[in-house]
Amino acid sequence: MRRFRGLDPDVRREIDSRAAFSEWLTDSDTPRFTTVIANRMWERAFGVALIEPVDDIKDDTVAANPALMSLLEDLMREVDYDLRAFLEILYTTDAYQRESIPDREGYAHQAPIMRRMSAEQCWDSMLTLVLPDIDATLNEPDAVALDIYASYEDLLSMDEEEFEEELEIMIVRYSDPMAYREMRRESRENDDQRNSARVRMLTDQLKKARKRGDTVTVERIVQSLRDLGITGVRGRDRLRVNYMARASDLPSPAPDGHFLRQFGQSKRDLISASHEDANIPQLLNLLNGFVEERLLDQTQAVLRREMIRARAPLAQINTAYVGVLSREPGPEEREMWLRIMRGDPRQGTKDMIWTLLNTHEFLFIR
Amino acid sequence: MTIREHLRRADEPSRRTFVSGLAAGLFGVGTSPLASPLSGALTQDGAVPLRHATAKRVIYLYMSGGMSQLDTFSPKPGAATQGPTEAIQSNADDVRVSEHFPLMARHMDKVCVVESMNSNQGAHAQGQYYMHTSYELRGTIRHPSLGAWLNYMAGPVNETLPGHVAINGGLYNASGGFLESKYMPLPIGSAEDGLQNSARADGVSEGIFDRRMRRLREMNDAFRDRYNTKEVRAYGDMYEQALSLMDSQDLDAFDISKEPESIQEAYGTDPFGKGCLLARRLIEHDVRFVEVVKSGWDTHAENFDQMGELCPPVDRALSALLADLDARGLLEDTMVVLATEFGRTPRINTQRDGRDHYPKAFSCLLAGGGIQGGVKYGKTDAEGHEVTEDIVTVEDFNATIAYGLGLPTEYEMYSPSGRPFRVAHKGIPVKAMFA
Repeated sequence: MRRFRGLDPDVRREIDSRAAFSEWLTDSDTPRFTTVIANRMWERAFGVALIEPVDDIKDDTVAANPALMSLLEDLMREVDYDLRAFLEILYTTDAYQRESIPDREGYAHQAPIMRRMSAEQCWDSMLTLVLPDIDATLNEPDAVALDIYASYEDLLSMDEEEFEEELEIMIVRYSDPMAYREMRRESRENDDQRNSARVRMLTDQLKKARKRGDTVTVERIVQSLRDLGITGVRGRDRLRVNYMARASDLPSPAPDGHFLRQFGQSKRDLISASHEDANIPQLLNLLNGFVEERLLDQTQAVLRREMIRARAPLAQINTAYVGVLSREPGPEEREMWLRIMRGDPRQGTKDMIWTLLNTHEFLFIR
Repeated sequence: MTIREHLRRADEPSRRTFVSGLAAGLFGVGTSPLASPLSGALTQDGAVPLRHATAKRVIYLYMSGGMSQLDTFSPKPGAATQGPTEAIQSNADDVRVSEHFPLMARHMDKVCVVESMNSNQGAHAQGQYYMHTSYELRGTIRHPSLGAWLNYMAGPVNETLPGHVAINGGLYNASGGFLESKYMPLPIGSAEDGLQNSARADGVSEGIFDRRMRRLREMNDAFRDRYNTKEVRAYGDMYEQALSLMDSQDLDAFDISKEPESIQEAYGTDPFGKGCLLARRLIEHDVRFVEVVKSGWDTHAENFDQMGELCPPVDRALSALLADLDARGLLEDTMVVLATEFGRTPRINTQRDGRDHYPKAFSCLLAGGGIQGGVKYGKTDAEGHEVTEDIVTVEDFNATIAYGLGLPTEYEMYSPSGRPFRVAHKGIPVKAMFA
C-alpha cells in the first residue's frame, strides 16, 4: 500500500483511519489537495478545468496553463479554502465576464466555455419564472395539502366522522404545532393499545410493499408510521418531490422521470453521473409539458403576471426577453413579435413565452 | 473543410457532452460529407451485410451493481462459499437455481445459464461500460453499446419509433457512443409513466404548434449559425426527432396501462416488472433493442437479507416475460439477455455478511432467439472461485448475442476519428450456445 505523504505510516495503525484520512486530505501541506479543489472550482465556473479530467490527477500531471494553476492555488490558500470567497473572485474576473467561447478548439481558458445549463440550473431557472419568490415555497399550507394527498387512500376508507376528525388534526398540526403536540400526547396515551396493533399491521404491510418494490405504498406507510411516532423507518422522503422548490431543496436524486432527471441530474448510483446531453423526453417536456402546464396555463405564474402588468405589447416583449433570455430583443425580433401580438395578443404572448423557453439560447449559457 | 478535418475535429475528448453532440454534429441532415458511403466508414443504416440471424430483437435486462451468482442462478449447494441461500431444482435436469427464484425454476428449460463469465473490470462504472460496449472506458471516446450497433448495422424496422430504448437506465448503460444521435437510446425514466408529453398540450392546435415551431426553428437556426457547436447541433437534431416521434402511429406502445390487468399483475407492480412489460410492448412494435435496468445489486453488506428483496421482482418479471413471449410466439426470434458487470465473491465477507466485487467468475443468462434452453454453459470449481471450463469473456458474450442477431463480428466500422471498431471488439461468438 502506498503511504500517505506527510503522514508517518506507523501512526496509521493506532488511530481511527477515517479521521486520519480526512485530516490528511484537508491538511494544507498535503500537496494535491489545493490543486484538486482549485481545479474543480475553476471547472465549475468556466466549464473546462485546467487539469482534465478533474478526478485523475497524478504526480506528473501538468495543467493546461501551469502559471494560472499555481496562481489559483495561491489564491485558494490566501482565502483559506473559503470556497464562496474563491468563487466570488472567479466570478468577478474579466475572464468570467467575457462572452463564452463556443468551441474547444484553440480554447485557452480566456473565458467560460459555452455549456448547457445543468439539470438543476434548468429547473431553478424555470421556477423563477413561475414563482414570485422561489425561496418562499416551503410554506405550511402546502404541507397540509400534501399531507392529505399522502394519506389519500386512508382518508377514502374513513367514514364521515373519522374523516372530519382526521382533517381537524391535520389543520391543527400545521396551524398550531404546540396544540398538536399536546393533542397527540393525549391521544397517544389513549391509543397506545390500538396503535401498537396498527403499527404491527403497518410494519407487516411495509415489508410486503418493499418486497413488491411498490415504492409509492412504501412511502405512504413510512409516513403513517412517522405519524404514529415511529421514526427511523427506512424510506425516502418523496413527499416533497412535487414541490415547486429549488433543486437543492428537493430530495436528491429526484425520482425516475422527473424534470431534473430528464435533464441529466445524477441518479447518484455512480460518481459524477450527471450530464448535459439532449434527449427526447426532456424536449417533449419543454414542447408539450412543463412550459404549458406550469407557465402558460397558470395566470399566477410570475412571468405571466409581469406580462399582464406590462400591458403594452412592446413592454411585454421586452419583459419576456429579459425574463427568459436575460437580454432585450433585437429590432427584427421586436418587429416579428409585435406583428404577431397585434393579431392575437393573448395567443401571441403565449406563443412568445413558449418559443423563448424552447430556444437553444435559453438552455445554453453564453 | 475536408473529411479528414471533420474527422479530426470530431475526436476531441469532451467526456459527458461527447455522446450526443459529436455524431449529431457530423451528420447535419443531408449536408455531411460522410453521407456518401465510404468503405468501412459510417454509412447509412443497414448498409452492413448481415449473416443469417436467429434473433431479430433483444430485451436486455441489466442487473446494475454486480449480481451475486451463487445466490441467484449458479448455486453451489454444499460448498463452504454458498452461505444460507438454498438451491432448488428447476424444470431442466442439470439446472438448479437459488430458492429466491421459484417461478424461474419453472422456466429454466428456456434459459442458457452462462456460468463461466469473466471480466477484467472490477469497478462499477468501468464494468458496466465494458459489459455494454465490449471496450474499456476511456476519457477520449464513447463507444456505442450493443443496441446502437444493432440499429446501425441492421437498420430500423419501425420507421417512426426509436430503435433503441433504455428503461431505468444510468450513465454507463445503453449509449449511442460516437454514432449519430439517432442511435442513442430513448431514455424512459419510469415505465409506468411511459413516454410523457408526446401529445400536444390541451388547447394547442396543430396550427398553433406549427406556427410556434416555425419561429422556434428560425431562432434556433440563427443561434446555431452563431454558436455552431456539437452540443447545439445535437439539440437541433433532437428536436426534429422529438417531433417525428410525436407523429408516430405507435405511441400506444409506450402505454402499459393498455395491457389487461392480469398481465400487469403477472409482471409485477415494481419498476422492474413494469419495465419488462413495457419492453415486451416495444419489441412487439419492432423496437429492436430494449434495455431494462434493475439496480441495487451491490451487496457488500447483508447480502443474504438483501437477496430476499432484490430477487423476487426479477423472478416474477423474468418468468412472466419468458412465458408471455413464448405464448405470443415471440421468444423464437427475440433474445432475452440478463447481464451484470461482475459477480460477487464466493468468499463471504463475514464482518458485514456481504459479498464483494468478483469479475473472475460469474453468471449471465441468455434465452430465446435461437439460444438452446435448459442448459448451463461453462464450469467453475466446486466453490465457484475460478472458471475451469469454457471461459466466456465479456467480449465473447457480446459477440454471441451479436452472432444470434446476424451481425458480422469481424466487420470493422471506422469511427469519426478514423479508428476501427467491431461490434464486440475481439469477442468470438460461442456458437455452442445455439440450439
